[in-house]
Amino acid sequence: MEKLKEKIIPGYDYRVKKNRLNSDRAMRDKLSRELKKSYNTLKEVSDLAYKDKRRDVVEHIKDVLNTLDLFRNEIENASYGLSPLFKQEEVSDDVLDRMVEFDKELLNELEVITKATDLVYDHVLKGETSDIILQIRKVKRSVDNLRNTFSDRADFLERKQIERV
Amino acid sequence: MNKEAMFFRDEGEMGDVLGEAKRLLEETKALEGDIHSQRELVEEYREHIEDVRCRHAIKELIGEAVEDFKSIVDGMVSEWNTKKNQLEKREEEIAMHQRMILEAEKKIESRINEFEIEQRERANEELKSIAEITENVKEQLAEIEKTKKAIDNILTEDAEAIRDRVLSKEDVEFLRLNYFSLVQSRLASKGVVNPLTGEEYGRGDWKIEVEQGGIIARITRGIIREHISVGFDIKFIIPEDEEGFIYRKAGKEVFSVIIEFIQAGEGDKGDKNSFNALTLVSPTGWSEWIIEKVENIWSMNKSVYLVDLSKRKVFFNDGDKKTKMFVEWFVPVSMEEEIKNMVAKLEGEIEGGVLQFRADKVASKYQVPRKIVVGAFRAMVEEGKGEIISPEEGAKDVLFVVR
Repeated sequence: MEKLKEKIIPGYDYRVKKNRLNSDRAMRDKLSRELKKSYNTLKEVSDLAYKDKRRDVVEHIKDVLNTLDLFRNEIENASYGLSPLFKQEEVSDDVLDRMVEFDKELLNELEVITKATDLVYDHVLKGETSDIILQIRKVKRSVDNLRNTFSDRADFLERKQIERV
Repeated sequence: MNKEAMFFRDEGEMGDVLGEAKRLLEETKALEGDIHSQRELVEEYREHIEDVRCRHAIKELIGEAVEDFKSIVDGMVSEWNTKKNQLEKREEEIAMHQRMILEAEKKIESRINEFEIEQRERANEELKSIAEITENVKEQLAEIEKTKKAIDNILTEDAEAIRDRVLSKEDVEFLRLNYFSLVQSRLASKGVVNPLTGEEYGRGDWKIEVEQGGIIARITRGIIREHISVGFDIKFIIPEDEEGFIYRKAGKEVFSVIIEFIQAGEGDKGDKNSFNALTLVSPTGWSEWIIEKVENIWSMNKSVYLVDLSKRKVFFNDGDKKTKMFVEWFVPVSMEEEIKNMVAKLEGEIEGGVLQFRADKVASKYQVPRKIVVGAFRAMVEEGKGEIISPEEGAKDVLFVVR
């Protein structure tokens, strides 16, 4: 919990009802911002590939960028404020633990993606691009996994019955 | 023309960017962990250093404080020692003072004991004197009691008795005249023998001088040089009160007269055979003091007599023969005899037809004291010849009414 707090924003805390919605919002903002960084980085790489007329690379990166866009839209527009988690006063510690695990998993994966996109850009600048499509696809795969995890989190939140204490 | 790629030169592989990213992140985390631990260590070390510095500073402060404290304690110890020495000296002084006080107390106690003994002795003496005073007071109280009884008796007496005791000037004059008349009749009726020489003188030898205050009767002899052989000096003493009442007994006021009489002619050889008598006459009587004096006077050729006309008595030295021998010249007529004479005179008037008598008028008529008249009235009442009407019953004076 403390590490997550450091990674996200002050006030991250699901234990108190009034803070839960803000904590979720902070988490989604964090995801969106980090994904935007990766998007920008990959867009830069895409521009460089375009300049070098590597349409194949551009196409693959475009595929990732579209995924990132969609994912960011899902993150920012998701509305599950009616989730029992945000309505119920008292929620069991297992539910809260699960929420924290979701967020922790999302943040770890997000960091890897962000770092991987940075590495891609660095390698491009170095001219080490022979396996770039493969790596882009791996990044795309990683973003998909992240998106799935986020979907699982959303499913968990939207469950009609949240276990009470 | 184909342009050469600027970035996508394919000069090498990227490798597993995700794996690399994970590794880098882990390394970063590890580094962050190290940094964190290092920071913690540094923080700990800093805290340690701070702690050491603080300890050092505290030690320095404590050291200074300890030094200060030591110097204070040293000062206190030295001051304490000084005070202790002073107190020890003071204690010695106090002990010395206490010894002195004890000695002084012993002295005071002994002095107190002496003083108490003196006080007791004084108290005993005072008690003795008080006892004596008490005795005197008792005696005086007894005297006062007597006086009180006398006063009570006087008070219980009826007004007539009191009136009898108080003499008027007329009463006194009547008494004087009667007594002088009596003495003159005696001088004119008989002669006298000088007790010292045995010389006899006839009744015609008397040379008599009658004055207001007395009678001087002399028998003289010798032609060229005249000597008194027998001399009677009779003085009438009136003890008048300041208010004019005559009731007090005569006393000390005549003592100087007696002394003068006794001392007159002493050392004169020719007077050794001269017998002289001094007779003092009081209508109210004499005090015991002067009676005692007179009863103890003894002289070779002089005699002193005190005549009490109230009780018809004469006081003199009964142990002196010559004095005793001459007392018959001065004895007054007794009250009973005088009353008897008065009764006889009144009976004569009754026979003449008088039926009532007033005391003051009778006294004036016969020149006798009023109490003689009243005594005659009473005697006549006892004989059943009449009755008395007192002033309380309306009379101006005591009246005797013949039955």
